[in-house]
Amino acid sequence: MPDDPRGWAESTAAFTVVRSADGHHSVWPADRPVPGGWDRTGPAAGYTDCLAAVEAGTNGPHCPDPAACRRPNIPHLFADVVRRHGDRPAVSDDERSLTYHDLDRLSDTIAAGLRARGLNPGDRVAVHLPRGADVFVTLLAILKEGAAYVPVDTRYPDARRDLMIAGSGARLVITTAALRDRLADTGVDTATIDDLSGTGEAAPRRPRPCGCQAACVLFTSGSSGTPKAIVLEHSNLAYFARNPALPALTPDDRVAHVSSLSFDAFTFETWSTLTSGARIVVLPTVTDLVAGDPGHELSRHRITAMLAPTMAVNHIAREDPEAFAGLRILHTGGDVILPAACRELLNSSFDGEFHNLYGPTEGTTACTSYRITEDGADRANVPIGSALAGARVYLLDADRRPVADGQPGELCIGGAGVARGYLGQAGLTAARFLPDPFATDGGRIYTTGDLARRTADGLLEFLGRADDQVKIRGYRVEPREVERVLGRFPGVRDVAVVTVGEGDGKHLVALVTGEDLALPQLRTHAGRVLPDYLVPSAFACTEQIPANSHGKRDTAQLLAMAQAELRRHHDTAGPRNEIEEYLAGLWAELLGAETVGVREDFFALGGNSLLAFRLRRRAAADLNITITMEEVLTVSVLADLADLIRARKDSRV
Amino acid sequence: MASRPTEDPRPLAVVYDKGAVHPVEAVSAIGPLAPILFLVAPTDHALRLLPVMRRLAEAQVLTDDLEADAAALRERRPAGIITFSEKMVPRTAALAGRLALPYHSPATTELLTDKFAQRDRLRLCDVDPTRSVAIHGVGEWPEAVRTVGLPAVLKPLRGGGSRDTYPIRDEATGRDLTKRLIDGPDATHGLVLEEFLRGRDTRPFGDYVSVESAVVQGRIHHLAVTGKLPQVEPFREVGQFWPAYTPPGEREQILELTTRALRALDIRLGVTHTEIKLTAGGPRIIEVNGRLGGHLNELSRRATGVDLVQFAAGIALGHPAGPPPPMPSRVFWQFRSPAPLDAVSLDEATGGRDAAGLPGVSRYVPYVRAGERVDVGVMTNPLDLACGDSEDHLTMAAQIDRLKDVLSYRFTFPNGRQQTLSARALTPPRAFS
Repeated sequence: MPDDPRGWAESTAAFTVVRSADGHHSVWPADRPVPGGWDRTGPAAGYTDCLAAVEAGTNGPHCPDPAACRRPNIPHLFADVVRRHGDRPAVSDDERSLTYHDLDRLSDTIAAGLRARGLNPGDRVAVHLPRGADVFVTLLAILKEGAAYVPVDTRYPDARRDLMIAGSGARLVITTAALRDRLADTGVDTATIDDLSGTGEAAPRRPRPCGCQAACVLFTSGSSGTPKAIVLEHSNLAYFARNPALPALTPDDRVAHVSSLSFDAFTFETWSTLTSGARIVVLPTVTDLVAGDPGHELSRHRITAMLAPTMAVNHIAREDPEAFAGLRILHTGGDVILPAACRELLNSSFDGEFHNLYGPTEGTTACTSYRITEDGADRANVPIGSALAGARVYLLDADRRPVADGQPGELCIGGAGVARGYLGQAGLTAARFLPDPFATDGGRIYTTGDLARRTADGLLEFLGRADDQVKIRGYRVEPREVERVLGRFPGVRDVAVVTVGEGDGKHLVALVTGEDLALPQLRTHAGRVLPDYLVPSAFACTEQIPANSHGKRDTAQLLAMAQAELRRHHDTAGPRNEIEEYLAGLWAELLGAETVGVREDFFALGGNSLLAFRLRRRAAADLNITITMEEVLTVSVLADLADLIRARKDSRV
Repeated sequence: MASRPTEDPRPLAVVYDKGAVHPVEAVSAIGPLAPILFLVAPTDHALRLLPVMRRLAEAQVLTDDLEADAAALRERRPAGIITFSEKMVPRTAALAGRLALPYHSPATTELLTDKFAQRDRLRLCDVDPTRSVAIHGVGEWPEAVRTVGLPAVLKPLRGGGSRDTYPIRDEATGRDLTKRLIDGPDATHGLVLEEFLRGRDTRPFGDYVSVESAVVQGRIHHLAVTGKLPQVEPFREVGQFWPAYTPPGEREQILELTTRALRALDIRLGVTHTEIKLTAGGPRIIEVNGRLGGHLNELSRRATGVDLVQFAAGIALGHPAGPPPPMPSRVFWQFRSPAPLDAVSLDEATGGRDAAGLPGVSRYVPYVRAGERVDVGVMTNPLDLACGDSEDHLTMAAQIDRLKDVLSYRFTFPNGRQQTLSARALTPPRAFS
């Protein structure tokens, strides 16, 4: 496993810049043979110097022979579907339904309009449109012109929208009249669908792009640092859209479009559908779907296939497991699927195929999949499965050598899904995208920074982020491992283990959701099955594990919750007498808190009138005193209530 | 105070309808904290102010479709939600629930808006034993009056202010009123008959007070106890003042009672306005409201410099409560002349200029202009607002007394009759007390 921010073992000091036949650059240890299809381009130097040299270079990757390029491209695959299923519906939203012929014709019109505006192959065009059929018309038009689309969700905050438009170097933004004014500050030319329709009839059609051409620019979520612009090529999109390892969509399928346009699940919804003759059904975003009645929406629109973010599946499986009943195919991905959610789904009327997908955007939506079965759902860690067709997955150590089965290693992906790289960041691309050590054709791997291991039955298990690993008291700790152990405890629904603090002050804090949870017992359990340095310093119940708009865990909010909990924990003054000790135990039980300090307030800790009733009844019976509801509601600090009870006991003597 | 500027450009959604803080006041108070997104009830009153709101901030008109409203609101990614209108508390809670924004929970909203459910909870938690019965049809009247006894108070099960709140002294009148109200527009959810709480003699001040509180994460911070001028028939407010006038020890009892009431209703976040009757047996709850009290911000800003609208907005945005407003060193008061219940229009108002020149009076604002119609109804319906301050409570009483003789109004009544009435004549001591 990499110990070093560079991703290489610390002992590796000298590197050289290497270059593949199709113009990709990377760095490779000077003392190791260069993988097949790569050549060294300079002398041995330090890691940073090598990256700087790549960054300073001007030549990017290129297709060695575009005319003879046999890699698949999206317009070609789409044309094939139009030929076979032209009269079938391709996309429907609340207002209209377009057949494949319609979509083809309309996108040709827009493509002509783009050409008339001087757009060239290789240009980038931002798509900033509300959800609906026009989005798909526009994407196809851009691809037909050999340009790359940059999907910019209209719900994004202005600053992020502007960053995506500027960061992608878009020449044009396709938007609506209503949204156009807000884009004035970007300084980028804008056009509406109407502007582009019927303006370019005379321009000749362009030849289809080659599979090595850029098809889209997607941005990472930017949860840590500035979002990076990832360039995916036509062959990348085609690899995922037509992947034979996943259940094939048929023209009878109705695929829900619930993803943000800017998220990589959108690649599934768009290209898996439009290259198979199925129909895209535009629904509210997954956030809105979850907040409303997902089962009703999915059945009303007769959805048969969808890719739902893991957090949404985890949630819906608990709240409304029958919601997915009508689906033939359910993919999930983006986070860790809960075994309990899988069990609930498998026990519901849903009898379709349920796949757990894994993969960063740099590998085009997914590079592994696992069909979730009863067996998988019974494991503490639902596998991410095995490589998709055309993908290669390696688990490597810091020397980029395979780890033994069962051992954790950094998950590195090679093959057809590996993106071109980061737009305008050749150095960063060279650092993350390396020569494939096991290929001979100049192939590359993307080093994900994720940790996984291969189980005895050959399946991959996701273990967490390599950079989530922390050293606590000198031990290497993997918070996800702790989560898995805690997740098996009865009553625990979901758990997030978060690292708080710096240096020697690092602590693990467990945030747990579930019903009737007894935190002290959970801690005892953790102490029994985990080494002491893995037992979290604090446990807290929370109503839910917060998610961001992409349906992934909201790390910033989790950290804030954990910090608050730890602070409370440290500020907790312990009980000083028997009555305080009794009350602290009772409060902890009633409030689902792990510890309660004597200066804490019953209602500030989440107490309500019902719990106040139970507190009064229990205290009166256990301590054999009279205590009124009035007192319980008024005297809310533990030490004060203990004083009151003591005074009452004393007055009886 | 919760007045730090925020870097977060996400708006605070302010649900607006009649009875709320005026949009201009809301924008000037909340502007330093967050941009405002007004969510406007589709009522005539609110829509009249829509152009004003659109000039000052963003505004969306609400529809009958809660889910559509929630979806539209979600697009704007609000950082918080609030309403200053009693009527809109349930709608605000429903939107907050759908967007996972902090606000009163659905259960607490029910307790805040259903007056019977609220009384029931307060009884259950031994906060206040006042008897009350919900009435959904005139057939339930005999049983209700048997349970509650007379005198009693009859009011709509849901609704804000003192709209359609009637004292009931005898059974026949009560039954007739029940029959009339149950078919009326404000009693669609039914009525509630409550035991009448007899106030002790607190003249020249009112026999009730209100407590303004802020709740953050279940912690209760009492901001102020507001003293009141005696009500006029049936239960109309004519004025209030800071600080309240309370005998030694009573303020603590009032605050403790309020604390228990807020806890019994499971209020965990927001600003509340709790009305409390001062009886011979100690303070008793009249009702708890889940929003800022009417006209209070003017009083607070003048008396303590603290903007309560901003304070409430800060809490809705997740800011900590901050220290409560300081206790004012003088007595700050408001007086409002109520229109006669049966007047049709105000023909002439005199004495405003003289009133503004009276000792202690700092401001006089007419609300209804000569020639305008006067809203018919029993809701507190002021003609004007006089503001002042004095060194002590008795001086305040003398100042207001003088004011009542200076202000005079000529009204037209339904039969065409015209009559000139002084503010004193409009505020006779209430017989039912």
